[in-house]
Amino acid sequence: MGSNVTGVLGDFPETPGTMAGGAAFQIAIYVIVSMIVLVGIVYLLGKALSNRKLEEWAKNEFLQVFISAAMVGGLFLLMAPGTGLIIIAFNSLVPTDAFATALSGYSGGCSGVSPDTVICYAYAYMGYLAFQIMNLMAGIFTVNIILDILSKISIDVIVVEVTPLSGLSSIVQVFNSILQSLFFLGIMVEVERALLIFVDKVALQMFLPIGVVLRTFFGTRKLGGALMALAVGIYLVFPLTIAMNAMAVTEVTTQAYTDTAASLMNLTSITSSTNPMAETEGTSSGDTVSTDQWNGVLEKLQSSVSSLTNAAMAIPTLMTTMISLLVVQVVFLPILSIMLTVISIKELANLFGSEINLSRFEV
Amino acid sequence: MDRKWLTLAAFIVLAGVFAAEGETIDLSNPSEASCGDSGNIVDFTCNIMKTLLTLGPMIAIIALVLAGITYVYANVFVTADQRGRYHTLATSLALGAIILLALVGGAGAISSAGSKLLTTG
Repeated sequence: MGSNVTGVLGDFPETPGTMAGGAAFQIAIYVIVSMIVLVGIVYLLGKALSNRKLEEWAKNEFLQVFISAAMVGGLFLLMAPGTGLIIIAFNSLVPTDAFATALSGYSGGCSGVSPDTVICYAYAYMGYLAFQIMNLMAGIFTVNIILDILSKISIDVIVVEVTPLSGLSSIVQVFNSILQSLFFLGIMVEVERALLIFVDKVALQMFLPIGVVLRTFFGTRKLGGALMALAVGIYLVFPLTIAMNAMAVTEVTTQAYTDTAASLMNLTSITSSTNPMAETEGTSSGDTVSTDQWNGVLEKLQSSVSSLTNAAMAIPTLMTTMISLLVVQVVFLPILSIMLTVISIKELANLFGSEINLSRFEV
Repeated sequence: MDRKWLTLAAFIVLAGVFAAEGETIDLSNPSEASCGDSGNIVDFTCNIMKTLLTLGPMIAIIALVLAGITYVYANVFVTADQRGRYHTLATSLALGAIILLALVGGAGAISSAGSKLLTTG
């Protein structure tokens, strides 16, 4: 009965500075044993004093302690990370297809969360989305800088200053809005990744053991049940729904992302070759530029602006599609996942002898 | 004084007497338990469990003794028409004590089985 924690208990690692993991489960066993003896003593007192209330309390409490003991034993068998039956079955749901392999290449794959788990898959998927968003932002940023510079180029023709590409500034404004949207989506993705790390580090290591301990005390039974439901819900349901989202919509998004990235590349190459003053190269400052050279500049400018405008016009359409898909993946589907998680927590709380009142999530 | 409070007082006095004797009555053998003395919450809970495992059988034995005394008292000193109450009390005490002993035994079994399961995996 010492406090050495090995074997199955060792699978619930200690979190420094907190009463969690194996120690908490050890405490749960001590509390259960203590409660059984206490219930016996109260029952004896109830009998001796002919107090029906005490007897009833003891009987009811014995039943609850028995349920708690069954829960503790069951949780060791079912929920121990790596060895629990539910955890093994749950992690076997992670797809092993090419996409799953490809995901591991994005943003460090699963570094930061437990490997070979559904959480790992969901985390890598979110990393993939973050990678897409950051790449799009980088592409648009590059194009935007070039367009912004081009839109401000002015040609001084004797006494008249002409800014032939000033119309591009409207595209620059559109791209600025797109950048803001992508920035917001990038923050959302990182929030969801941080949430997954939190779930991975806290659900089974802290919430579940502490919930078990609290579940065994008659005064904190409902709080314990709620914590256990929270732990199981956020560990099992939330990452699983995120992983399902990944499997459902990634194929569509990947195609849209490829198209958008190709368009951005095309635009970048056009803008980088759009140098209307190339015709005047070799002419020193102060030299007079000939009429032929000016005609060359204007022709080059017309051609470049035409192709640049065509390419730039295609971008908003692609970007709108891309951002719409990203909003679905980064905002809408995770909200759905959170709703499903909350509903499952509510149902699990009933199962664990607690109740969580969420009137907005009633089903 | 009411019979219930008299019984409760007798419990407390006898429990104190037995507690002063130390761990002489130890059905579940909790003295084997080594709870550690680091003073953390695990050891604290372990010590509470150890105390209750010691106290439980003690109270059960006290209840059994009291049941016997009550039964004898009823048969010797109480008139036949009043005897039923004392017999009921004695029976309740004996029944409660037996149930308590069973629970303590079961709790001890749960504790040792749980510890074995958790430490061997």
